[in-house]
Amino acid sequence: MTQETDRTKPPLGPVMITPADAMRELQEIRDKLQRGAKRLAELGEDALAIATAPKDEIYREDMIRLYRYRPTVEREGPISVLIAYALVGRYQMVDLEEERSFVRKLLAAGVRVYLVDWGQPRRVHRWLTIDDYVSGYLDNCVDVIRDLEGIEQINLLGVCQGGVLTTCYAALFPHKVKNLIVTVTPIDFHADKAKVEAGGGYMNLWARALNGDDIDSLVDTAGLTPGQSVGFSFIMMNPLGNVAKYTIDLVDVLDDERKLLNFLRMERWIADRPDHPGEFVRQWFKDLYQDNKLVRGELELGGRTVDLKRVAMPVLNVSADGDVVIPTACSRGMGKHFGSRDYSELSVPGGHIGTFVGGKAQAILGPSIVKWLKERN
Amino acid sequence: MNDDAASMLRQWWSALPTMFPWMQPLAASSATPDESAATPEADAFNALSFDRLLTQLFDAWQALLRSGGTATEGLFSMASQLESSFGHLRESLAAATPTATSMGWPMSWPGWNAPLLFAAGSSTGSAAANPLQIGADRTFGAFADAFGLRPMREVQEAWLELAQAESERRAAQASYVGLVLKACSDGTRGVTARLEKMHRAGEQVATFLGFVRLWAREADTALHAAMQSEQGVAAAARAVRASTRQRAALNRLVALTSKALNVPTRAELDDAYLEIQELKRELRRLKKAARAEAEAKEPPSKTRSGKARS
Repeated sequence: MTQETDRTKPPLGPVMITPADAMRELQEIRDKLQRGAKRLAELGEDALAIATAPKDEIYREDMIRLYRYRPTVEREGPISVLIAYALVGRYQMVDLEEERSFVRKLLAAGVRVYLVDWGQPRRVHRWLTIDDYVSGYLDNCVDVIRDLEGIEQINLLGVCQGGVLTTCYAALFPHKVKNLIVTVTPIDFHADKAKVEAGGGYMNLWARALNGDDIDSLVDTAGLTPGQSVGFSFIMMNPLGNVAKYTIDLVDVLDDERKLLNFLRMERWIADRPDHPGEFVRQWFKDLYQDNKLVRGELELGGRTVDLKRVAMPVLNVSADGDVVIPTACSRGMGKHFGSRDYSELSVPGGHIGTFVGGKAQAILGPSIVKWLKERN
Repeated sequence: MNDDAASMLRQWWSALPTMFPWMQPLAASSATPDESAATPEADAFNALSFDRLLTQLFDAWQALLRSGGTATEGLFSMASQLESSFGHLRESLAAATPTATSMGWPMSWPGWNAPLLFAAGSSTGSAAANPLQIGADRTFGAFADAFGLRPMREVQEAWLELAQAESERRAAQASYVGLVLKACSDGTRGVTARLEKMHRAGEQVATFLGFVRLWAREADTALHAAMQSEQGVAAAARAVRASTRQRAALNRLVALTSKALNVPTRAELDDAYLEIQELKRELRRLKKAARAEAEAKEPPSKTRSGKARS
């Protein structure tokens, strides 16, 4: 073909980019990158701080800490809640930024907020089991709050893996739990088998592709599962999306101070991946992901069977419409497994993490939970 | 490529280093790609070479511009260029996988399996040991151990095991990467289909970033399909198994070294940690029992003054 190309005239077809346009765009990208680099250099630590809602440590044991957030309203209401985050990330997600803080929303509604920080397990903690977390750390935290508030039962709110822990706790210690709220929590680990959700549920697929011996080897070899491997598995759930995030999408982010701060604070949270105690991992993958023992009523913690029918207190189950980490099939429609006659579900827009930081989800999550709790106190 | 296109390409190349200074070394070093690449790795790197990929894309784009009213020819040309690029890399990886020994150490060390006395793989049973070596080991092994040669024997076996595990790990990774590259290739076909659809609907892509985003979206869909497929999940599991085995082999080597230096091994520390954890559990059980007993006598009430423990 010898047809001449007019550089100023858009070509035919859907790709309407002339070389001149492309050059201009690349120039703009370069300018944005330069401005972004300058902005990055000017940002101080204060601007990047996360989880800034004031709080006080009221209990500590090994690497875990129990915090009570300071009230932000003059008169607190009668409701208190203990939040248990997952072990795969840090609790800061529930208070990532001042304007995107689930905790601050609860405080503003007069709720007394307690939070357990699972901390950074070290080599010495490699033998910790799920039961050590549930019947040990979590139960001790609950007792501290019961003592402090002079109450028999408390409201528990679990996030993701923390939701499984609080569910197990509610089944083993139902007399200490007034209401149970689980958010983006897998309950039926095999419910995704019927229909694999496109682009989601990788952890379920990977875990089931391995056998019990593989998990044993993995745990025996690593001892403490490195946090970085958890981070890597999350990246592998959406590899190209992550490539785009750190390249082409970053161009626009760098040029917008608010977006840049959101991005950097989120990265700060992502970078803080605690290691996972080996025995916990062994049980998590074998008993839950592989054998689905929680809904089969076969999960044993500390020699006791976790019977979900004993979860007779009111239950609110929150799931995210676009959750690709926990397939919605594994988290929704779980009422039949619980013994509770007061079971409700709440769907929020956004993804797994977006539940706590997404603008739309934020507008729904905090107020809905407060309303639900008020109706049951 | 016609003269106009060639001149435009030259213009782009001369402009790129100015726009992205950090790309300069890459652009400079890859200006003359090594056509006579001797190893699969070199082939793979050449296939990934940024300037080569851009040149292919540019050629495809030119074809697209020249295609006039129907964009189909140009689109398919672009797709075939990309496929060819990914295909080249896939072939390189396929070639590299069975000959993983050429990709790393210490499998390629000359004479690694040569010692007569220390039969390679005699205990693991996984190495390509010859009968003479095994016979020599069985005959003289105990005799050699009596002279303090056992640690050497064990270390050598551990090294061999590590080398095999490392080789397996690389093969598993290569197989996984191959799967990803195939998905990228499928994604390119998806881009073509998407562009055709857009063309028919009268939609346009007006920016370079917009085009890249479109490609990323389509490739992402293909990648998810591949990763969720039976083959993809199996490849991921194989990679995990291979990594675990490599880590276990490394642990063994470190344990032997620690033992030789009289440093507590990982397993010894773990035993101690287990004992500590069991004692903690027992203490917890006793504390809970005491608390339950106290609560039974005086249940918590609103009037009770609480006190935090620390």
